[in-house]
Amino acid sequence: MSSWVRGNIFAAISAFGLGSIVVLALLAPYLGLADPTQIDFALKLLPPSAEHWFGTDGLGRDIFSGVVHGARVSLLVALGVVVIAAGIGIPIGLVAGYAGGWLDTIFMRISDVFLAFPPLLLPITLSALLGPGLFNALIAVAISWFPWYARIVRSTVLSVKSELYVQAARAIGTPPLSIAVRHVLPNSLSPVIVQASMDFGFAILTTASLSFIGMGAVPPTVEWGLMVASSRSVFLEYWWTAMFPGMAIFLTVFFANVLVDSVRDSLDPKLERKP
Amino acid sequence: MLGYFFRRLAMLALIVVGVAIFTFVLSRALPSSPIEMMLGSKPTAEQIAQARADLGLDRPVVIQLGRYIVQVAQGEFGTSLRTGRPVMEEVIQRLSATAELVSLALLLAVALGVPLGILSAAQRGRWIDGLTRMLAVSGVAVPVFFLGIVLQMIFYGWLGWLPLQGRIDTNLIVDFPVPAHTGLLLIDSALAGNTSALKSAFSHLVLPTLTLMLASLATILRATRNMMIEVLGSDHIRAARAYGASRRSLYFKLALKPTLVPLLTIIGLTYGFMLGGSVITEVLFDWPGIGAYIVESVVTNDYPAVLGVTLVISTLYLLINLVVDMLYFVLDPRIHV
Repeated sequence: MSSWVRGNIFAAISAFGLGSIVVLALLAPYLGLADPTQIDFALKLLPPSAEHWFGTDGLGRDIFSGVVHGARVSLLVALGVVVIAAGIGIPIGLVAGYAGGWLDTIFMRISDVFLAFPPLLLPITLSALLGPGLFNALIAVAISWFPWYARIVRSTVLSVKSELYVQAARAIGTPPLSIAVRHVLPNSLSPVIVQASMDFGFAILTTASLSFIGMGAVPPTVEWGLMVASSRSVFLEYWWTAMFPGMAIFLTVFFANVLVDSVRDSLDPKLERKP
Repeated sequence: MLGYFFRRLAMLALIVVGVAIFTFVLSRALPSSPIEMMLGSKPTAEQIAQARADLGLDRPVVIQLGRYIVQVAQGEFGTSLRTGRPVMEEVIQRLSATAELVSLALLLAVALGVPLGILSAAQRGRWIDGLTRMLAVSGVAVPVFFLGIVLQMIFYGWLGWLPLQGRIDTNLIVDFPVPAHTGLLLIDSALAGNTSALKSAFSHLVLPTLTLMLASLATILRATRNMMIEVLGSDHIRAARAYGASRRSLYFKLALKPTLVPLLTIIGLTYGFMLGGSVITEVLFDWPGIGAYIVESVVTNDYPAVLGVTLVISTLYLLINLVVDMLYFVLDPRIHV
């Protein structure tokens, strides 16, 4: 009992934390913050103060404003990654699993190739070829990840396919496409949704990492990974330039992961909840 | 088992061919052609034709692909546009630095993660369990580059205990060169009996290793804990407890054994994450490995190098996975082909 309550307190704190970040991200343009791209050398590298809560960076930009505006970018890009990866993966997995045969074989061999790359290597290679830019980074990560989604859908489809209601639909002569889309697909989606929510935090980390090594966001985009990267020459003397954007990434991913974990645990009837 | 091994090896070869086709397609889909890069801004028509013939670009695509795969099979990944040296040579030269970093980090992650996971499971629900779980959740949420920067702030900027970046003190290596036997500086300097080089190499390794290790440590710790909890609830453990088995043999022998095989899978996965994470770590710590090489190549638009390294790293990754799968047979006598 006590561990269950404690688990829920963590979940509640995380929900509140992530919720605040999302609200701040949504409201960022209306909060009357300094322009996060405004360069002013007279204000450069000021420590945190009442005027500049998180201090200013090497170009005199307000870091608090940057962190808040950066939340918009990071959350949106991470959402884009999982939505596009799932959006490509779901139809492919559905076709491969439901149709089977040579389509399935071709798909499985292609996904073998994708899965042969260690995580992060394929996004790096792809965004290297696509060129810098946050959108290219988003596409690179989504392309690298879609086979995972396709595989999950495929394996669920394989088991759903033999369910009684699917057999019944087939028996009364429902066309295959209609069975696949109306009966099999809706019942194969929940593992994908779980996977997508677990990948959300990882998507934030991956795109921020790409930005950090110069293969993601480019100025004047305000992005957390890029903010940390641009602090690299000064962070030893001016700690706040790296600390606040870095903490923003950490906390967002932390809250998202804890929340997803506890929601998943509470939805999973197999887990016993006693200590 | 040997038959299975060879079948898997053949599969692996096929996948590598698939990866080679993939990198070939990518290289053809490039926004800029290598010709422009080699010849500068205003080449004459003859120069272009000559370069195309040299590179075999005037042949049909299928022939080009065939030649590319044969070259790759022979370990020919083309020439770096940046240095004009064979990509394979540069990769091999830099592989040892990455190998040193990644293996040390993996060793440490396993050596710390497994015992901590067991401890956490044994103390389930107590404060130590809460602490290790916190570590597990935080460890996978920290961006690798931010962790590295915080460690640099503390141990270089603030305490001044450890060097900021690099692999060894360069002045020291000029005065007392370390003969390369293994390519691993720790081992080479120990073999040469060069204690100052050994000290320098070690102190340069600490921060990158910690940076690279944390996420894997967290993953291994969490997996060990969850599997141990499951096993600890099983009948054979309850029986052993009833028979009065010592806690040591209970946790480290009876309960650990059935978790070893799934744990191995996790460790194999972790290794893949580390190969990717080493790119970030190497850039941050100016570590002369293949991860930093890939980024340098990207920045200078050196595509043959990028694709070559991609191919080498993914082949390595596949090989490691094969080794992990083969270890199943050694660890678990119940598994048969």
